[in-house]
Amino acid sequence: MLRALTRPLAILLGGAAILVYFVPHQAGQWVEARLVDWLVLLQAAALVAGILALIRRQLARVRSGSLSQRIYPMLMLGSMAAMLIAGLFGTTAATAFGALYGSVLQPIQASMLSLLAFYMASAVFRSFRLTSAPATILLISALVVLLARIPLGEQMIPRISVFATWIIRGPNVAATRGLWIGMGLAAVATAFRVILGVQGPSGGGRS
Amino acid sequence: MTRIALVWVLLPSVIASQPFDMASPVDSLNATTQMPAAATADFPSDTLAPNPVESLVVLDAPNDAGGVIDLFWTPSLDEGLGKATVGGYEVLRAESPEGPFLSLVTLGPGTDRFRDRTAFRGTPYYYVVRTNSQSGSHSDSRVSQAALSKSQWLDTNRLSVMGGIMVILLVLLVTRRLPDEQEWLLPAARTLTEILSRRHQGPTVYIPGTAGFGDMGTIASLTLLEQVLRLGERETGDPIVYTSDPMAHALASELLPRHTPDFLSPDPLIFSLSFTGEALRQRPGVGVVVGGMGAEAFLLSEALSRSGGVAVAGTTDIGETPFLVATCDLTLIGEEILLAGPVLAPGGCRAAGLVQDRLKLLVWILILVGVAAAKLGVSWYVRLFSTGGE
Amino acid sequence: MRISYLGLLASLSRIDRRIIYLLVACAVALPLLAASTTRLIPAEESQSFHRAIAQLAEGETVLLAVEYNAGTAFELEPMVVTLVEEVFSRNARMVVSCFDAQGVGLVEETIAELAAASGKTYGTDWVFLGYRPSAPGVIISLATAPYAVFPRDHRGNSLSDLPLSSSLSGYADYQLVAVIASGTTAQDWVIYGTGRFHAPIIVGLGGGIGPTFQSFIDARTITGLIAGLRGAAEYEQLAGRPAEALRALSAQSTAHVLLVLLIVVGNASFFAARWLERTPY
Repeated sequence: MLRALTRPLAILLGGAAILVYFVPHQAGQWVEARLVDWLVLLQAAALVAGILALIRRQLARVRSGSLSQRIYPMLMLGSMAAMLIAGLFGTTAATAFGALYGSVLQPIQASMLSLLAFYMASAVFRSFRLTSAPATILLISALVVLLARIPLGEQMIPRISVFATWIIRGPNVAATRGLWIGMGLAAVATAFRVILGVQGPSGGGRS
Repeated sequence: MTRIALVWVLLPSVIASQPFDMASPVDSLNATTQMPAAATADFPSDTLAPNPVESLVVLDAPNDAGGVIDLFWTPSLDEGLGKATVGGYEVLRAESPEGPFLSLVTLGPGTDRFRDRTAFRGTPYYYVVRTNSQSGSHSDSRVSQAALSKSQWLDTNRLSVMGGIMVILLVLLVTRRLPDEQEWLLPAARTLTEILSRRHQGPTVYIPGTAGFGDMGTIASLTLLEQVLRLGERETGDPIVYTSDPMAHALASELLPRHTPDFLSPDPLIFSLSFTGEALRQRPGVGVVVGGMGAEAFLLSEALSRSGGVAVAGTTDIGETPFLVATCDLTLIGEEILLAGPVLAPGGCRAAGLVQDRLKLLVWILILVGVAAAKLGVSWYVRLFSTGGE
Repeated sequence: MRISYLGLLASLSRIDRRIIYLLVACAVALPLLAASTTRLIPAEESQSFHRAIAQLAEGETVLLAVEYNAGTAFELEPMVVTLVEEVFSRNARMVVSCFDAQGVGLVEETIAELAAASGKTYGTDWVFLGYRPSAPGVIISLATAPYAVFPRDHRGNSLSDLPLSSSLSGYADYQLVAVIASGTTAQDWVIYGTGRFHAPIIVGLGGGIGPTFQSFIDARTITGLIAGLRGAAEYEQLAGRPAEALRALSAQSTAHVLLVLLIVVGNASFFAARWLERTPY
């Protein structure tokens, strides 16, 4: 029953979202404000659902795993509960929540993104190979941009930043624009297919 | 041509929705000078007073929800000259021509326009622009005619966008099937089919990106997931799906027939690290990471690469694509992400590639004509694509 | 003998990745211990970014849209710090919105400290809206109905009661919108903020996605751009406020040099291995 309503609802709401773009009248703004409200609310509600799914999964791992496998899910659930309880008593820097945020979450987050540098160096060592003409062009461009973005590079090769700027503003912009245009066209076409139910995650095209 | 046709179709509604003052500011300036002179506001001035501003025109701002009134005037003749050098202009407003006039804003010399955003829709307002001299004297313009702000039903600045959308819709509707069952080739999609149809050591894992549902990559990725499910059914079984965005999680749950996806974390970085652990434990045969992703795309693809499986990736965040090319066996670039799902789908959606070809051909022509127009100094062509301001 | 050297070189391709990790750690950490700053040649787009802030007049308002958390703060927080200092030094005002749920505390703390140092009052000189999910939805709402999505600020005050935010109506309230973002939010701002509502935008980005935004600079969709630590350092230099980014640039320099060396050694090792494979003895 609900699935039968999906397509008309998708056409109605998707169509409305497109239409209000062309209607500056306050009636159009009212419709748009409601659509955006729903979007924000749905996102927030989905976040709750997602966190519940996460808790369910961790609980299942606690129940079914061996002792060593239980440690991480238990740690995760414990941390979640600790933050939740601490948050009940205020979220400013002076509270327990603030202390957990500043001395646990922030350092963890900072370390996690820094892993990117390590992974990238390892990937660069393994993958950047002069195996063909295109790979050579890629590699030379990468070397030029890498050196030009640091003061040392500018000191070593004075005109390198001119070449790097040309790479970024010339071939890079040209390729990016091409990709943006292609993606933009495909995105509009995809949106229409989803709204009209020809395909898409609304269930229209399931085979 | 389409735009001209579109304008003809929409013209009656455009006319019906426009307030009295849709003429351009220049036209209106001319019209105002021919109007009978309104009463001058009774404001004191002295012998050193500068010349007042001329031709004060007030217009309802076009293409808005009302509440905005535009004022245009010809600056004082004393601008930059003589003993009463202009020090600035003050805009005053009243709800009746007799006043009382209240000051709205003080503007610098040389100003010839002001946008009043504090008006109430449907209330008539009267304006006076006061010219202040540097010596402290001032003179007032004539009181403007009544200005009434209204909501408009159609934003004429956006007709070009409407035209573009209608053209895309038209191409979509016309290109519903491939002619004579011709196959439209998307090399990346073909390679992906080959990868998924092969037997692999480990399971297939799938990540529909980490971006929210507002990202087209997420929607495209979920469409691709349907095809990955179908193609891998025989050899590799259902993929294990890991999600980061809650909305994507809800929709992926709908798509998976036999089990639910694993929601690892709403934070992209924590998600990536959790997935790294999962990938090293699961040792997937194939890993597909496609959707909207930022810097974490690289962490995810590196995790797949380390786990030893065939890595397939693609992100709508173009800046991250080079990293994926360096680490993955197959990278979907740009529009391939959006097209892979429909192109792989059996039946009606295979024409998606052909639609894309036709649209790109159209864009090519538009760009070439634009280059020629710019070379020839034809400016109206570029204005066709403008969407104005709000 | 020649072969053994080649063999050694070829064996480098099988080097344990943990050795590379160690080299990266040293390359980044050691220069930070010896703090030094260098003079940079700022890019055009960095100059435009700085100019947009430098042209603010007293009493004008900036909307600062921030998206970062502790993970991405290393290159984005220096941008925010310099920008906020500049805005406050011009006696301009600021409405701040955060697009990263986990960065809310960090962003508020940073700006509150800077505001206190500049003697600025909350509610009059700056307001912190906080976080709401769905970046596109928030960007549209800020243009059409700000109070619908933010009836209260992050501290629980009614927005209409605060002097700075008592009459918000859309992007026309702001002289400038400054977007400092690590992720896809910057794209959302270009699509919805500029594309649809013509908000005057300057953008500060993570280094990785900086080059893709170059086309928006050329098309004048955005008026200024700083990307990565280099962009942040250029902005610090232009603003005459040398700080964290300029100091950290030396670490980035050695890391870049290491990457160049790794590429060279990786290729040398690759070709040595290939040559040995083809040589019959």
